[in-house]
Formats: sequence, structure tokens, C-alpha cells
Amino acid sequence: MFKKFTNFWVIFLMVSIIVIGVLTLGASAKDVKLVYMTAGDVNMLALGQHVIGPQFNEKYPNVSVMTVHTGPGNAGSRRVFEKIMADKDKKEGDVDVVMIHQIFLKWAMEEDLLLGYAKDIDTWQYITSPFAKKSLGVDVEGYCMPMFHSQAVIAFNPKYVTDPPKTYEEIVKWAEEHPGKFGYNGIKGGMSGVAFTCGWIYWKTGKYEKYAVTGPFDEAEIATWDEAIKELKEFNKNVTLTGGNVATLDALNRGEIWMGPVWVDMFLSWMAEGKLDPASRILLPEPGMPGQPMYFVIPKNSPNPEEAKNFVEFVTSPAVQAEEIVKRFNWYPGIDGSYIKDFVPKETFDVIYQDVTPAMLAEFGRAFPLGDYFDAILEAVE
Amino acid sequence: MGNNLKNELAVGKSEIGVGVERPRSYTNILPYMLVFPAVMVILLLYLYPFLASFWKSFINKEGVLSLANYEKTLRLYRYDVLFTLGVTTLSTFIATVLSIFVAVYLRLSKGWLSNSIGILYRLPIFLPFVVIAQMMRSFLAPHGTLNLFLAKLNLVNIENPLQLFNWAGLTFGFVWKQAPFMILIICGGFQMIDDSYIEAARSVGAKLPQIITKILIPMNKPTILIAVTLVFCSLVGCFSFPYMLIGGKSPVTITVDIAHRVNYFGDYGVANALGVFSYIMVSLLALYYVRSMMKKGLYD
Amino acid sequence: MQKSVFRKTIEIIIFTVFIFFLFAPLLSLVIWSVALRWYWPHTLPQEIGFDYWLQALGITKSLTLGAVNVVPAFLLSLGIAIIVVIITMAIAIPAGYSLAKLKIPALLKGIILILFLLPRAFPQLPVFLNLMLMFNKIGLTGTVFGVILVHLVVGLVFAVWITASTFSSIPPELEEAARSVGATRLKAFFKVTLPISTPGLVASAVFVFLTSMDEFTGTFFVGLPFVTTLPMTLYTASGSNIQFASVIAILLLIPSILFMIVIQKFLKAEHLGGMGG
Repeated sequence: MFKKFTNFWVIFLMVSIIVIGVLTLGASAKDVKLVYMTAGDVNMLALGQHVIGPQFNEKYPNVSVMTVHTGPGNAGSRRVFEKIMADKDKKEGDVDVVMIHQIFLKWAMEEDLLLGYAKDIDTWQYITSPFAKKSLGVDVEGYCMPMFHSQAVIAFNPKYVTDPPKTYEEIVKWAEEHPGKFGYNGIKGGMSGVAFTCGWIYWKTGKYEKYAVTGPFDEAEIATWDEAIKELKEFNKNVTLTGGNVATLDALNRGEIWMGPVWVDMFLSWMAEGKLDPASRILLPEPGMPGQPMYFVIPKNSPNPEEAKNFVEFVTSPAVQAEEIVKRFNWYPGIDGSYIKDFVPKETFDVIYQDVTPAMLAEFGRAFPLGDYFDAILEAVE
Repeated sequence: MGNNLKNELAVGKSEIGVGVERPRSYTNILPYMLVFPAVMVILLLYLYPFLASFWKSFINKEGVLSLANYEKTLRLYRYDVLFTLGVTTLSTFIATVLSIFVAVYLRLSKGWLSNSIGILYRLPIFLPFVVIAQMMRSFLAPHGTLNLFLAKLNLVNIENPLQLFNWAGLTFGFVWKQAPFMILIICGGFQMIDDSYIEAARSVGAKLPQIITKILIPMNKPTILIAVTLVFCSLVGCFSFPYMLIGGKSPVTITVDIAHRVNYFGDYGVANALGVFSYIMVSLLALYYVRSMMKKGLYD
Repeated sequence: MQKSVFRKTIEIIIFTVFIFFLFAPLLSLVIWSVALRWYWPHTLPQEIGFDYWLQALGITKSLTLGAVNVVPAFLLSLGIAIIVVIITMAIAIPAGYSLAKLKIPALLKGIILILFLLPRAFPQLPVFLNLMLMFNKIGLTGTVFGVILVHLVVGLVFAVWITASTFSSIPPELEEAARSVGATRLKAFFKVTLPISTPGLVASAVFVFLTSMDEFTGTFFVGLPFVTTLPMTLYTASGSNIQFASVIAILLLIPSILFMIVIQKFLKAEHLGGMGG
């Protein structure tokens, strides 16, 4: 019996050595490992891990893409920012290419962390979006490539919401009549809640132009929001706070809420997967809610800048934009829509623009406020 | 430690040759050599950061010694500190009472019902908190399994369900996970008490409540206290479950606040001050635990 | 007679409530993991199937919102856990043996024991936070090695206690007997003490393995976003895809239950409290 146990330890030792050996060998596999960091919801992880990563690898077999996902909202952007900042003084950082929200651009431009690469790549010619030149009032032209654009909308289930509200004002009234049945994720759980909140401030102050387009930043404005924020807190008493962008959709499906702000692309993805009651619809309330792009940026000390540029070029090419960004993930394209028309069937556009039409987007699709106003609003609401 | 080791080394050397059968230097150093790597790991990777959390909590944003972090912590998170204390105490209390009842039942009752409970109750002990968090998210949701079930029994109006993603759900999850662990420990203690004690008490007319309060609990006080301590301390430090159940909403536990402070603001001063509050919260019980374990020694 | 029927009824009612609260949360996890379509107000899913299982296990390719292929995460967790077990046991067995069997001055021994009690008594999250700051400086955050070190600390505390109490339960006469017939201390250890204590040591190794597989807080601070172990993918999926999160949760609880049923009789009850922090 003793002997049996001694044998056990010998085998244990051998297995250990083999395992360590295999793990060390496995570490040195491919030529270039492109580290691609992405903020945002889990769909961003799926995009990198299952779609653009493997496809890029197919085209450039010597480059493998490692997708690193940091999470939604400002917290996700913050995590990327801290990583790039920590590597700032190194000659070569760890991160090659980043997919990021607008607020990150403001932070990164202030710290001069980014490579001005956009005009060097072929697909720059397809970019017409004003968001590629200015983001939250910061001049970013040449430092970033928009990959997609999305819009915050109000999703609802017509089975329970027979007469859907068309304006913010009607939403407030509806929420009063149906306590707990309007749900959103506040300002900490992701950007759809932030979009709803900024839309609220635009509605109450009527100063969208000043806050989001022309500027300039005026600290005196902050004091004028008191009333609007007090009313928002009052409104919050009638609503359900959800845990995040996706949690709002989930609560909608479970019938816990009947209405709430969501990202249009996620809504359409959930519909396509059968995870939402097929009767569900969306609307864009007056006087509008913000939408946002997400951008590709390359850190100044990216260890593989050439591969990173190829990667961005690949994802912003009309074919990939049409096939993956629009058709598969239901985003609005990052490049000018006219270049992808030939690649996308009419039915796809019909689905995407069924409830919220391009005309409505043009009229009520807003931008997030300028950087300083943005921070001030978030702080004031907290 | 280092010094001690050196002394022992020196002593060992000077005594070479004096030893009888084998060189004594070898026997003298051996115990320290064997324990050295483990101690180094704990010193470097535990004790150093542990002490650093105290130190860093007094460093403000400009890198100067100050109480600013504590001031800010009390201003912003006073309520959350009390919330943590409240939920943890409540959970520990419910878990203790519940587990004493179950342990008594298992001790005194015979039959297939109590036998199967005696096996099944152990299940939650082995589940990690992440899994429990996911479980409770679907179980306690407004239209989750629990509310649906209660609505079927007409105990709850499903249009106005129990809202449990707050202190109540947290307490439920904590008790679900920790009561079984306490039952396990307390049962162990109860098994040690001989049947003859209970029989003797019964023969002089003692009722069940008296047997519990006069015999079972007093004779197992140290075991129960150890269980209470371990549960309370582990709940104060629990992060994954409150983070996944309550997340960014308020009020929430200290551990979640620490993560928010770091992830949103990169503010390590306030995060560490919050950490010190969590140390203070467990300090009395922790000291009790360390003392009683030391008394018991390794030999139980 | 009537009293005993009454008692039996009460017992059965309590038993039912007990079973409900014990298993209903687990059941809701299982239901969600196979729910394909479940619109309100249906009490049960309208369509069930193993689609999400297949996607999570990487058998069918998936682009579902929140989809993660858990196989790489599982292999990573497994690899980390195995390495952690090897290093931890290599450190803990000598330490436990020394504390249980060899002469160390009482004061020093006391200090060492206190050192190994602190992590069990005080919250570990602030420690991990400062460990992360420390690792930031030397470039260990976001590396597998950094995560291994964190898991090492978590596991070592228990491993030292369990191995020490295992060794101390072995009567010293056995080893002495071996040495009296001429075996060296080393030989006596390998021929006598180690084989006898194997069950306890294996239990300790399995315990360390499970703490590493389930470790959340330390990995959250030191590993994310670069090192995504299985519990980390569960956390990510949890906010975004109930079905995937449920699948991962079930995958995580299977090894815990299997292993612990096998080894729990070798462990002291108090140690079990360290499971899954």
C-alpha cells in the first residue's frame, strides 16, 4: 500500500513536468501578435474575437489578433486609458490598436498618446462623418477612424404600451402612470443611460447647439441645470434602474419593464436572435437623444504600427463595413454610406431603418455634449 | 525573521562537530529552510501589501500625509460602511440562528428525512460566490423564479414583485452560502456531545428549548463562535456577489465601492481608506479568531 | 399518536421548503442555460435546446451578443490551477512538515502561525488592490504569471494549515521506527510519512486547485482585462447574456461538487469556509 502511494507521487511529478513543458512551448506560436483592446459591451468582444480577428488573420496569416475587452461605459474607457498611460514612457507599449468611445479621445489627446495615422491609410477617403474631425469638441482629425455609429433609442413593447410616447414630456407622463415600467441604466452602467440623461438636459435647457456643437464652455451654465436634475431625480423615483445596456433589453424581454432606452444595434441583434418579443418596436423621442461612434486609434508607442494600420484599413474597407458592421451587427457604417450600398441588400436597410428612419435620425439624432459639458453633466447628476 | 535565521545559522556552524550521530547544524537549520519559502511568499505577497493599504490610506492625491482620504470616505461612503456592517451582521445572525436549528434537528432527529437533509445541505458550501451571484441574479429577479413561484401561490402580485437586488437579496445569498458551512461546523460540535447527557436532561424533565440552551449551545460555544467569526469576516470581504447583484446602484458594500473608486477615478487613497474601514469592521472578531486558533495550536 | 402525525406533517413541510430554497436557485440556472426563447409573460421558456451550450463550448460558431467561447478560458483556468497546485504544494509540504514535526522556537512559530491566520481573518480585497499597484511597477499586472502569484497566496494559506494538521496527526513513532532501523530522515520521510499522509495532501492539493479555479477578486484586479479566467468570463457574460452566464456557472460548479464530495472527509470543517471567496 505504501508502495502504491509512492508510485502516485512519481506519476504526479511526471505529469507536472509535462504540463509545465507544454505550457511553455505553447507560448511561442505565431510571428506577430496584434494586441487589440476594445471598450464597450460584449458585442465588441464578439466582433474582435470571432469576426474581424480571425478574418484579418486569414488575410495576413503571420499576424494573430488578441482581443482584450475592458467593458462598457466610462469605466471601460478608463481602463484602456490607464493602461496606455502606464505604458506612456516606454519605448514600446503592450497595446497595438484600440477601439474606443469619444470621451477617451479627449483624455488621450490631452496627454498626447495617439499616433496620427488615419490619413496614411487607404480607407480615409471613405470617411465623411463630422465625428471623424471633432469629437466632443476636441479636434481629432487624423488621429482616429470611426468604425461604426450607433444611436440611442427608446425600445418598447406595443402589447403593453398601446399609445407610445413621442416626446420626453410624454415619457415622463407615461412613467408616472406606470410606475416601475420604464427602465434605464442610470449613468454608471453604460452609455445608453448616459444618452438618455444628456437628452434630458438638452430637452430641459433647449441649449443643444451650445452644449454639443458651438460651445464655448461656460461654467455658469452648470448652475442652470439644478431644476432639470431635480426633475430627473423626481422622474427616477418612478422608474426601474437596470444594471447595464443589455440589462435594459433583458428586463424588457422579461416584462419587468415595458419601455427603456437602448442602443439600436443591440435591439436589432436581440430581435434577430429571438431574444426579444418579436412585437417589440423602437422610437426616437423629440427633441432627440445622442448617438455615438466608436473609433479605432493607435497608441504612439504601438509595437506593431504597420500591422495595426493594416488592421484598421481592413475593418474600415467597404466590404467588411457592409458585411460585418451593417449586416451582422446592425450598426450604421463608420464610412460614408454611399460606398457600401452595392454590398448591402435592400432588406437589410429596410430592417435597420424601419422604425427610426434616416429622416428622423437627421432631425433628432444628437451628439454627446462637448467634453467639459459632458463631464459637468455626469458629475452634476451623480 | 531574517535575523533569527542568521543567528541560527551562526549557532549551527559553531556547533559543528559537537553533535553525536549527525551534524547538528543540519538539524538546526532544517526547520527554517523548510518553512522559509512559504513565509517569504506570505511576507512579500500578503503582509507587504496588507501594511501598504494602511500606509496608502493616509497619502492624499498630492502624495502628502493627510487625513483627506478618510474625510472623503466618511463624506461619500458613510452610508455604505453602515450598510456593509448592517447586511453582514444581519446575514451572520440569520445564518447562525438557522444553522443552530438545523444542527439541533440533525442531532436529535432520526429517519430518512433528516438523513437526506444531512447530506443535501452541504451543497452550497462548495459553490463559489461567482456562481451563486449568477444563480441569484436569475432566481431573485423581479420576474425571476422566486417571484414567479410566489405569484403562482398568490403571495405576490407579479406586476409589483419583490425587489430583491438590494440588501434583501444580498442577505439571502449570503445566508444560502454560509448557513450550510455553519451547520457543518456546529454539527461536528454537537456530535461530540454524548447522548447520555441529553437522555439525562430529558429524564429530569427538560424540554427541547432547555436542551438547546442549557446543553447543546453552552457546550459548543467555542465552535459556534469560530463559525460566526469565519462567516462574518468572509462576508465583509466578499466582492463578487454584491458586485454582480447590486453593481453601480446605491447603497452597496464597501468592496464594490473600492472597485468603483479604482475603476472610475483611479483613486487609490480613498479605496485604501475604505479598505481600512473593512479591517476595522472585522478586527475584534479577527483578533478573537487568531487568539483562539493559537490556543488550540495545530493539534486541535 | 395524533401528535406524532402532526410532527411528521410539520417535518415534511419544512423539508419541502428546505428543498425548494436549496434547489430552486440551481434549477433557475439550469432552465436559463437551455432557454432559447422566453418572452414575457410565459412562465416557462417557449423553446428550449442546447444551442447556447454548443456555442459556449465552441462546437457551433456563434456571434450572439455576449457570446464567449469558454474553452480557451477553461484551459487557461485549468493551466493556471495546475501550476498553482504544483508550486503551492512544493512550498506548503515542507512548511507544513516543519511546523508540525520539527523544532522551531515557540515565539517564532507563533509569529509564523499568525502570519498564516491573518489572510483568513481580514478582507483580502484591499490587499489585492495594493498587490496590483506593486505589480504595476514591475509589469506583472495583466500577466498569467501575476495571476499565478495571486492564486498562490490564496491557496498557500490553506495548504500550509491543511498539510500541517495532516502531518501532525501522524504518530511520531512511525518515523522513529524507520530511522531506528537505519533510514535517514529523508528516507524515512519518503518511505513512511509521505505515503501515510498522501490522502490528506491530495485533499489539500485538490482544495488549492479549486480555490484557483474559482478565484475571483484577485484575478479581477491583477488579471483583467488581459487574463480572462473562467470566473472572469462568467462575470463578463453575467451582465449581457443570461444563457451564456448560466452555462458557465454550471460548468464552474461541476468540478467543485465532484471533487469536494470525494475529498471532503479528509478535510477539517473549518477549512471548507475558504471555498469560493
